[in-house]
Amino acid sequence: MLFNTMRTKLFMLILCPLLLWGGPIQKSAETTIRNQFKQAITLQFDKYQLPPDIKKDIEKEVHQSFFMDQVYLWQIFRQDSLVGYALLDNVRGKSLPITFMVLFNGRAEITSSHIVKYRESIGGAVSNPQWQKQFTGKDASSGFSVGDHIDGISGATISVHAVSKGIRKLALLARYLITQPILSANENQP
Amino acid sequence: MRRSFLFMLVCIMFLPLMTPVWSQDEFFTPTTTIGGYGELHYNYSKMESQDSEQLLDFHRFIIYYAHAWTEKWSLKSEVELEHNLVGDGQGELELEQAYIDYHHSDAFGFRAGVLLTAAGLINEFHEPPLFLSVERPAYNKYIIPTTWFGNGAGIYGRANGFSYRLNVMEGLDGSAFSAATGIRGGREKGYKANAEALLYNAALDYRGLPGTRIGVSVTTNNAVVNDSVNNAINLMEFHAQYEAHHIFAAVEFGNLTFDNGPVETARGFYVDLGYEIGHWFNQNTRIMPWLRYTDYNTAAVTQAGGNSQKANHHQKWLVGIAVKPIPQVVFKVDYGVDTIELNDQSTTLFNLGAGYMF
Repeated sequence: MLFNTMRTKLFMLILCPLLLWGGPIQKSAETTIRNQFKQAITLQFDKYQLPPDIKKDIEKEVHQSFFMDQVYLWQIFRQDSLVGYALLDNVRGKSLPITFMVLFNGRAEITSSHIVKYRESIGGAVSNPQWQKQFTGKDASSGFSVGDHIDGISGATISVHAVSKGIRKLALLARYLITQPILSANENQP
Repeated sequence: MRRSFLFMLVCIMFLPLMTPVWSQDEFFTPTTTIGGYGELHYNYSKMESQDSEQLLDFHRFIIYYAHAWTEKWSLKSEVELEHNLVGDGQGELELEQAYIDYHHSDAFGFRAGVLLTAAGLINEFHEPPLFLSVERPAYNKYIIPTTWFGNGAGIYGRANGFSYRLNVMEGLDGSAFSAATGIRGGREKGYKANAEALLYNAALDYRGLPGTRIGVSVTTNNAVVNDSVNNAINLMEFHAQYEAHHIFAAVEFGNLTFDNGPVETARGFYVDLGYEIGHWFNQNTRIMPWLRYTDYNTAAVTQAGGNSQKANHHQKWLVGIAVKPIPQVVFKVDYGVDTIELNDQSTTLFNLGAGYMF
């Protein structure tokens, strides 16, 4: 009797985590982007190489480095017209990278932000949509200071500060990107 | 019950073997991280009709060391030097955390090694910039014996704003419980600890609303007193914290029962209220005046009854200011009075502190 129950419990314990398996970053990010739009959209993906001077200026302003020399960039099209952008980068949590993504409209205002992958055992509450909602509507000139403009999370201090800076960093990059020909040239070419 | 739980734990330990290697992504590289925190304290205390005592103590120096081999497999550790020296009965060098962490998914992870018991607001998050007072709240010393750590294994995870921890850990030393300090003396701190009567610990927290944390935990252990006597303890506690709109509020309540000892129940609570005023001056420096009221009794119900239920009943208020020039550095000052119910005996306290984390 005990053995039977144990076997069932064991089976469930092994099965449950397997069902929760995540996909590769790009795929999972694209699913998140599509979920933000009611109508069908097309996505154009690039690994955007950061111009060194822009990278340096933004890093100096925010006091946080970009994770690499490139970020993931999606241009979002609906019926051939550009309706927004998504940028994906990583910040360091206590010891592991936190992969996050910010969606912008054509005016570089944040329409939503998401944690695509969280790898630490603590501080994961930065993934909560209710916390992320605080960034919606902000742009490069908004306040991102934790305590003044962004509410913190008890037990996730390091992640909260890192992600808030990271989102501000992408907002500054988005403000620059919307002025760039590389994006406007593609506007009608999904 | 215990056997089946242990069996399940062993099974969980083998689960990671099923993990495919391809689950790694392009952003991960094996990383070693160093962090830490520390705190310097000045403590003045004066009991009525006695001389004052003044101490300048580098209370804690902690080195956090972590290594991630893969995205899912990592080691986390914390070594603590207490009171800046280790000598005969003075100071302590402790391995407060050292565990292998297997982070399978957001909803499920496993760890084994030296773990922190999941109880209260402070035991798992005890860095000085995270609480207001110079010393940790008395509640988090005598009701929840922070820092409470020990050898063990557990699972954890989070979903929809909830997070859970389930731990099986070394037992407490029931012969070291006392009316004045509750179960604090019973912590075995991972030193050849008792595995005859294991400790079970379960905690659930909700952080779905920005700035808010609400949680409960249950910890139970049939603590060994000697070869033939046990004293089972059961700690149930509730905690909540709110930090938003420049307000800081925290409340914790805990009830600890003993089934076979001179003390039958210990209980306590405290409430913190603070308001951040740095923003009035448009400053980046955070300045938080606060007040705390604490009531705890490590021998609230005793077999003897009478005065023995009053001798360890503390009522304590504290006021203070915590100043953070940057989020990781804090300077603190607080003042208060701690009154013991029996004979209405009061101690005046004044503390200064400097702390950091990174």
